[in-house]
Amino acid sequence: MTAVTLRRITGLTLIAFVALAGIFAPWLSAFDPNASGYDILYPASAEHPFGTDDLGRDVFTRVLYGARISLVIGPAAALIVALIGIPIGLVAGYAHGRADQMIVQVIDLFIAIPAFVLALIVMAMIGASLPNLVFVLGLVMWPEMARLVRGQVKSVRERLYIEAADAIGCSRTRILARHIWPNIMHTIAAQLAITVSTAIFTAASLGFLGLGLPPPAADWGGMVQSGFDYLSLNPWLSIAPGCAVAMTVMGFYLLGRTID
Amino acid sequence: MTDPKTPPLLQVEDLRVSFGAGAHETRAVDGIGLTVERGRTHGIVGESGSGKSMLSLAIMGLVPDSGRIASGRIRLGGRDLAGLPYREMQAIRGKRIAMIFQEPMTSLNPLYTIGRQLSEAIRAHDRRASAREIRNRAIELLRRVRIPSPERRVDDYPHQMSGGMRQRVMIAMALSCGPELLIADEPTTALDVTVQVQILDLLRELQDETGMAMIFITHDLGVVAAVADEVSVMYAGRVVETGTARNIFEDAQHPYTLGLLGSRPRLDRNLHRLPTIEGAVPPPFDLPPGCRFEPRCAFATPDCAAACPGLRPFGGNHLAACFRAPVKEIAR
Amino acid sequence: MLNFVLRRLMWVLPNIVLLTFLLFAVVTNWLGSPASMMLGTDASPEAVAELNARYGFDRPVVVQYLQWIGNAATGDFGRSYATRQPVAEMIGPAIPVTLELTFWTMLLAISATLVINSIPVGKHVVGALTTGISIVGVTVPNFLLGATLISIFSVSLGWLPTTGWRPWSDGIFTHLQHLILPVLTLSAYYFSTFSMIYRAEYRQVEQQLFVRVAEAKGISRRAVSFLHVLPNAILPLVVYIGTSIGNLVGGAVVTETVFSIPGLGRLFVSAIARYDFPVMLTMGMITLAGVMLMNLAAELILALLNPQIRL
Repeated sequence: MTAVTLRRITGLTLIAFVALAGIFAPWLSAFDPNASGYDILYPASAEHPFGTDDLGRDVFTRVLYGARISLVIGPAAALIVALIGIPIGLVAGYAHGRADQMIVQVIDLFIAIPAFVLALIVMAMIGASLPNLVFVLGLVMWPEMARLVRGQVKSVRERLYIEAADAIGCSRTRILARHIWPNIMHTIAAQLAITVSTAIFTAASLGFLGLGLPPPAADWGGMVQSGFDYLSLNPWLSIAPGCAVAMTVMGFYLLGRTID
Repeated sequence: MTDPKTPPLLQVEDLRVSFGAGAHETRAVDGIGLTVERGRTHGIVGESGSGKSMLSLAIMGLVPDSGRIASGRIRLGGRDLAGLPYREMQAIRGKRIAMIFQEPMTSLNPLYTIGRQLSEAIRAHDRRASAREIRNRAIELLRRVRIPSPERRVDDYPHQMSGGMRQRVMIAMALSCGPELLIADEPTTALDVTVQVQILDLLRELQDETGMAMIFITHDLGVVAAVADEVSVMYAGRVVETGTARNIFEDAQHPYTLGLLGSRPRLDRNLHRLPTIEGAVPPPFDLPPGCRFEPRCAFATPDCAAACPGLRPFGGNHLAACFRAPVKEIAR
Repeated sequence: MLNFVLRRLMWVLPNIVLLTFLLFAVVTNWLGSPASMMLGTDASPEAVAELNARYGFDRPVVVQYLQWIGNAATGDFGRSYATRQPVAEMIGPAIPVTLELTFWTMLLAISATLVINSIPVGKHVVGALTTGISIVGVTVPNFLLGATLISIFSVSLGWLPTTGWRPWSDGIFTHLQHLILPVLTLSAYYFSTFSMIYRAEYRQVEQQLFVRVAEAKGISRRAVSFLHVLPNAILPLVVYIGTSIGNLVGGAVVTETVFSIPGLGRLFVSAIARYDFPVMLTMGMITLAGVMLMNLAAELILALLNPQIRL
């Protein structure tokens, strides 16, 4: 088994695990993720595997329900990245000379902006909500995708048979659809998986800094933050949701990293 | 011709270079024999994929980490080099056997001046020389390979030189320690035709000056005709025909050699299309069971698909590996 | 040399102006306004207009931008809405803290990258292990790594202080003791990304013909690695490291929050939490300019190291 296959299987397993946890959350836990009816800061026990938080909510339940949120945020943000980044990359890759250069300069300009700082500022401006979060993540991540797609198109075009197809007189869209797209599809799919992983990572970091979803949403990043004050009392409050983030991020990352 | 008591300079016997193991084992070089006498030039001809480059790397002790010399001997003046560890080969590489490569554009490190890269080759085998002495020797080497104003060019970076100039630098580097054997792996393929001629002339002149032997690897029979004393034709990891240049060019026995000779462009015949050999060299992981040339051979019989022919003599040192040889009569 | 610097500056400076202007416009006009941010969305229009007039937010963006830049050039970044302190006075003490954190982090990450990836060249076990560590390093968020390190080394074992920052004046030992966990946390990510870039590059350079040529000269494997592969493989890292250093604020923001370190990152986060608009804006501008200038510096270093780039 090659390293890539091993990574892919591990990645898919992690994603499946997280997805199942999210889907079957109501069956896996008897508690309501937002009900605060229990003792506060109850230590880890058979009843509450990770204990209860400072509002008396069951942390295990909240971690399970958090999977639902993350698995919406990541793919939704990746969808926005794909919708903006892929067309721009395709156009830039197929354009010649000045048009290409101009698009490249715009892409380079946006890539120069530190994504996380921009995300923090914009989130602060427009306020925390699920659509806003997805929008911001898409906004800061599309240039990377556009650059990758452009590079891929360029390198495929270099290959001779495209030149040949050009000479025969195929239309540009036909060349893109028939000759270029099949060759770059897999790389783009891999990059999309990486984008999902980065989106979940960034969303969790924003949540940790207090710019995630507004309470009482079971937002993993926010849970880590609220547990931080009680690290010496019950480390699971922070570490359990933190591990959930890491698992999900790693799952998509492994799926997308097809090169060594 | 040579004293029978002194061994030839280089004698390769039944050399096998393998990659992978077990069922996945593939042989890039499969049972090759080769003899190079002092001061002579042995041309090796083959298409890409025939294993000729791997053969030269094996002689240099530079088989990639993923492969190994599975069996055979590489005797240099009687001493077997096959399987010597990297460290012990270090004293031989560059000193007794030197090599030049196909792509002069990428064979020099872009970060260092050519003077520094030449000095490295000199210092590798002469640790006592002073910096000034080494620099002077580097300049002298550049002069020997006919680089104009070597005192200035010695401080140039590779990107400041043309392909032909860089190949001259590579030759200078190879000559730096006075090797007994120079392996030239397609040294002119990547160059313009006029530059090719210059480099070939230079190599011949240098060979006359130094008396070194050469292994000249190429896919171009015209080049071989110009430089080689002996010729071996390789196909899919094996030698299919070997002999003197005259044997090969005037009395070829193997259908593959004949095919190669037939596909040379010639001015004295007015052909609309160059004759070519159909198909391509089979990759080492997908070899036919019998003769490796059989699927592409115009003379093949069912016997050819059943067993792999060994080399048979056709007078003197002229050997060919073909059941049907001599095929000339059949062709007529 | 001077020519090269000027040429690059001619390219970078307009970009800095363009980007900072975009940021300024986005923050002040396009995505809501400082007034609505401070007063909340349900503020009366009169209150918003009054505040806009008071702070000059009703003027054209270009005018506001130029004024801001003009003031910034004299060291005046405005006053914090939250503390009424001049922004420069708040940022000033935070800069050396983040700089020091970044210095140790980069030192550790870069040297670990070079040492760990150079020794085991060609050794499969160590190679696979480094790849595994790198994958963990880029996917585990800093807050999880920080929380785990604190739980183990501070809470359970009690070897190191949990959080906080002590100045040099409290003693070198105390100072460094407080640095260990933050530096470890932050460098884990950088080590992983640097390693990945370096390893990919190293493998690519190894395939180059000039490496074969160097081996054919009869020099040792170590000399081939260190003199021929490494210098070529390290060049792409230079630019990446430069950009990472430029992005001090963004890089350290989570780690500084985890360990309550009074650096630029935490200042930024607290400004965001308090809707402290002038501080936020200043941090954003500093980050943009920092990244682009460090990028330029890295390109210069690259040009000095690589003779193929003409100065």
